[in-house]
Amino acid sequence: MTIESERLRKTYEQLKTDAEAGGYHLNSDEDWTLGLVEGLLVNEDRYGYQACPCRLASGDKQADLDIICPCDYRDADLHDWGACYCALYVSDEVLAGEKPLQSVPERRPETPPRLSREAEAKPVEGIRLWRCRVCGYLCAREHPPGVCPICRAKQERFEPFVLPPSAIPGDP
Amino acid sequence: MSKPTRQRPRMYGLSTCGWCRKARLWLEEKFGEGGFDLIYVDLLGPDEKASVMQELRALAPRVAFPMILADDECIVGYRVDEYERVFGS
Repeated sequence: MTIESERLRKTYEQLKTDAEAGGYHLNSDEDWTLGLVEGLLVNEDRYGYQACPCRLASGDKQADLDIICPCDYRDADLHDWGACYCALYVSDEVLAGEKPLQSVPERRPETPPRLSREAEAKPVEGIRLWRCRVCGYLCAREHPPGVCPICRAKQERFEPFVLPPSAIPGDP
Repeated sequence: MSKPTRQRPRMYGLSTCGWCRKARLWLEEKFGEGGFDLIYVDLLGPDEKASVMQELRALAPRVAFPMILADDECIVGYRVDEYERVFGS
């Protein structure tokens, strides 16, 4: 499968703009990065979503939610290894050449978590928030945002997050 | 120095993965384009994919790509140090 070069270039530019706006960086090795963006587009055409190009997707979107790029594991891998699993995203240190790029071990659990909105139905005491599973952004609204303002993950990547009353400062 | 293995090297990879591309290029450099078997697991049909994955799970505690097999060795991930240990530098 090949991807039309204009579509590839456009996707790459958009991804780069979004990454920088959120404080993230794409790998500056353009050949490497374009190869991975092409993989994302191949997966989009093949599965209907941009599954991680370096992991085997199942084709079941619900089962693969955690590996839709940016994956749930990116930020932890950036912190620990200076790059995401694919080295599509790199840390400031790697970008600046202060830390070498190395291959990143798989941290996705053998049985990946199933994102559940069950908590939506259960009344739990406390302040109900929404948490972005990709970057940890918390949002105190009735519904999660359509797109995470920090990492651009889609609404379906948000999970309910309840802040217990004891965690709220102020009232004794 | 190359170290010959008894078995023809075999690489399992994903056609979309950057590390798999690097691994393939390493093997091509070493053995030539036709000098090893290359299986892109993401391009297999559902039944074949399931049986290959079952096979691979028996070989490695954690299946990830690229995965290179030769003789009793099974190298998971793009690991040049390991490739050189098994196949010579």
